[in-house]
Amino acid sequence: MQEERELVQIRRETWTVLCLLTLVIMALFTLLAGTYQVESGNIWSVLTGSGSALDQHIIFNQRLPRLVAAGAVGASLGLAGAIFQSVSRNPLGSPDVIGFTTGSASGALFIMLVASSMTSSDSTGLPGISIGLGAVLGGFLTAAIVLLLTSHASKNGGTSLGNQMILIGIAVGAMLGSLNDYLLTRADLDAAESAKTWLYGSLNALTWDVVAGPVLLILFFVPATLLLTRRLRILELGDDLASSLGIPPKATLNMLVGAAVLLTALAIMLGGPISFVALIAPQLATRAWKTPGIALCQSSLLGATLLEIADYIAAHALSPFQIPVGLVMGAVGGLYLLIMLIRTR
Amino acid sequence: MAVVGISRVRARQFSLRHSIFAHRRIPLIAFLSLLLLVCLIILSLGIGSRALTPTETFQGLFSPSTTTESIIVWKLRLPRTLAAIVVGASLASAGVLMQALTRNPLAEPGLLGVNSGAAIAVVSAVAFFGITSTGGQVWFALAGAALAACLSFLLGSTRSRSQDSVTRLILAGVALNACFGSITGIITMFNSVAFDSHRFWVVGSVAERTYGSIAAVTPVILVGLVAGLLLIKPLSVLALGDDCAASLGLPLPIIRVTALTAVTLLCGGATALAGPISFVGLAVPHALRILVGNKLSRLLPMSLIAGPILMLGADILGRVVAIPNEIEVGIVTAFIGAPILLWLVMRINSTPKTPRFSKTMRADCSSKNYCTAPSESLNHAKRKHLPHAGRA
Repeated sequence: MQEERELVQIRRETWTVLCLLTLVIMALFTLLAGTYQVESGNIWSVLTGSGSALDQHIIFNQRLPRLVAAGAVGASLGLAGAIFQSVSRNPLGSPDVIGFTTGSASGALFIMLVASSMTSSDSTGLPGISIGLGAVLGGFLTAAIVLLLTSHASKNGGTSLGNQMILIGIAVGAMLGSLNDYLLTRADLDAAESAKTWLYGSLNALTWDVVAGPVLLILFFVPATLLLTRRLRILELGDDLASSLGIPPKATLNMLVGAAVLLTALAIMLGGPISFVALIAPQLATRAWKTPGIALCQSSLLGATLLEIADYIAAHALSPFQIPVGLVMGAVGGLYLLIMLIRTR
Repeated sequence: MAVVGISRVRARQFSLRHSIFAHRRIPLIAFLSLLLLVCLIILSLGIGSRALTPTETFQGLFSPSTTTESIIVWKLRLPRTLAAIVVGASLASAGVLMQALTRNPLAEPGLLGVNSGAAIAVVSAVAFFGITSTGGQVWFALAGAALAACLSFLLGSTRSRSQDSVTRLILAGVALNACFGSITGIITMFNSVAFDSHRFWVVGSVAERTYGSIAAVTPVILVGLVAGLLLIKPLSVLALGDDCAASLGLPLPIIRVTALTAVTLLCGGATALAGPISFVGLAVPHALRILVGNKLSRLLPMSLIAGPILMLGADILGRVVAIPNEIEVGIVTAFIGAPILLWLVMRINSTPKTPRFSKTMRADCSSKNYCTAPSESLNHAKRKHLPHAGRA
């Protein structure tokens, strides 16, 4: 018993170290590799502040923001996914289930395709941040509608809260999804293509002015959300037991879902709706670290690592073409599900 | 005593009258819905950016000539109407079969990965072979849908008897959807023509279909339909549960494979013709269950009338609501279907008041199976598959 516990402990620590190591290695790869080659001998001098101005510009103003954004988006999506999977008690739970992603896509499309044509300015001139804000607004509105309907439905009694949330999320999401398709068919081809790229989720061509604000917020909110871990654990035991232990299930649920929605919103503001990070990271983390229940902190770490790897692939697989990282994650996610299916045959 | 006796007689009379009413109700509903369908067909031939009066419509329809009315009816409106009827009937019957097979009222035929398979085939047809006409794309879409369905059959099949094969199948469909969606995305990233074609295809529309493409999918759909009609009896028995059905001597694997093949043919044919159209396969069976009850022998034939009614109604609405523009039928069905789904969810969650579901449905409901979305039944599968959940 004692030995087994120690073994698990060692296993967990190994995974943590492995994850951090991969994170550092991927960071170095991302900073060094690209169409413009920075010599590996020069990297240290660039990082310490000396080195040629061109090297410094490429590394600090072009590759570093993308790297930081990938890590932050991965961490917040991983954490948000873990919360949703725990709250909905469903390994397939993710921000998609309350329609957040589809709603944010609607918001962004509205800004990109409708608002830009109304103000009759060229659509490419719109700053990325206003698209992000539109997305976040759309996401929040959708999530609010879904949660409102959920609380209305739960008044009639019935099954668990999480269950109803999923069903209502599916319905609202389907409706908004077809609205998005409609908006795409009504735009001209160029606008529709750039909108579609955003919809897949891409970290390409990010600069500090866009990245800085959301990243700082993520750096604050991820640890703040991790403080809720204990409450989440107790809520996992069931609504009744949680309230008998002095934790109001409904208020805690709202707080947790609120935090997860906020993290997703920040991630979407940076990179658009990137699929499958929120789904895979918590599942893999729980298996790797062998935690009881869903691992919050570890999901966050693994999410960051996953997205850095995926972003590296997206930037270099078909270089000089840039694939949106969301497409890479979609392929990875589909393969993950297929592997699970084949393994459990 | 006397009072009790009278009330008993009355009760018997009442129940007698009631049962006669119930007996006559089904043909009445069938007749009324056929009437509605005919009205909608006439409306569908007449309504559009150039509206025709009923007399003009009939003249155009029954005396084919070179008049404007005749050309409008025969070249534009009739193929469109036929396509809507074919697609509606096949999607609705596929939905009935799928829900009977999975015993999950929220199962949708599109879950098998058919839509994304057809999408990737259409995009490839445009990008690699330069085929942009809907008539040429039909064959690709059909092949893609069939390929995706075969793949999800292969991946979803299982050797162990303890696992729910249908749930695995749906999970395989989800996985294939993700992979295919990614590849479709990458192809459309690099090919603007393919992207342009895809964004219109993915909405789902019955406008501008040719007689050729309707003729191409009709045999496929007919085969699926015949298979479905032959399955009415076995599937009704299957509603009692796998064990019960097996003990009554049903060959379960054969029934499952046949039913899924039928669903694939129906759904693949419809998707090839009109693109992915959501909610028809979900909403029609539910509406019918309220009207004619839960018997598969009534549901399946009625779905062949009700599906076209919904599709034609949605298509006409899409033509009318934004004159002079049109809204594609796929968008209209989603906007009609999503509120229906919402209403269903609310209704299911306040169950005790709903007596219209059969015994098996209610039994499922009490075991929480009924109240679950596909994703929740995936949950059960996942619990079995992922060791962590079991150990937790």
